[in-house]
Amino acid sequence: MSIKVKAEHAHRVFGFNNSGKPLGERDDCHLLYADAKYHNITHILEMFEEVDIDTELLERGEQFIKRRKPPVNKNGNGGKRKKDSREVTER
Amino acid sequence: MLSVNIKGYAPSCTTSVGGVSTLLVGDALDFDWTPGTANTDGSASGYSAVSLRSGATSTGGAGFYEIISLQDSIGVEIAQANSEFASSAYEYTITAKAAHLSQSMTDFAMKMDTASICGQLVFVWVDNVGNIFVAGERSVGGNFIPKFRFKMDGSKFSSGKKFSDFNGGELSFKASYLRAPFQFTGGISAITTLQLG
Repeated sequence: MSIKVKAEHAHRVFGFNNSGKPLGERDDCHLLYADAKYHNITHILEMFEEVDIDTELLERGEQFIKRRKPPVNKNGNGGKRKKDSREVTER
Repeated sequence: MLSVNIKGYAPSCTTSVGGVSTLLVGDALDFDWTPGTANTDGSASGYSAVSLRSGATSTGGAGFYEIISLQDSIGVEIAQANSEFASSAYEYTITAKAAHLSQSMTDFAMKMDTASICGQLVFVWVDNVGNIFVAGERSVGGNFIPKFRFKMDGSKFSSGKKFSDFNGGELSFKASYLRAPFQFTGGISAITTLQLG
């Protein structure tokens, strides 16, 4: 299980782990979350959502694929494979 | 063990020096302190995080303010007493020497007086070992803790008589509480983020 800060709380500032950057810019929120969870501090817990690690990995994978540039086709025909004149069309 | 779980005291093996390098003050109601996960024996580990409470904004003046003091003049004394084998009390005295009698010194003293009467002051200090302590906090984990109120009490303001005499305020803040101060383990950058002056 992993956590991520809810969008509406991304601007919130908590001073911890020697930093005071807004939560949305931090990669150490799990430290704050762990302390809040231990003491059941609901107003902090509510700022985060737990993310199933498989779902998170899947999302990251999809984002990675979206960010990838489409493969450049040397023939310049938009990715369509040029039909080889030697190919025999089945009838 | 049969009556109470005793804990020894083993400080980290580093050189130790006296003195306080930095003293900050703020409105206790502006801050919420997050307790750290307890130690393996269940004892408190201090505060690991601090944030502004809902409604408190830096644009509205919520933050820590430094009391800039003469070198080696800030001190924190905490005297514990338990006269009847019953209740323990910790008498805090925070002192500092701030230079120059001036209008801003008067304004500062008036603010401290007002806060002593109507509000609650929280003090944060960094000792010369590098440890950060908190006293006067009000909100912990979103809940109010028993009142831990400081008042400016016993301060002296003097002009001096000759060039080499001290000119300024010998500040004194006093409180009584049920324990010694908690340490803040979130690091000094976590505090300075919320520092306004």
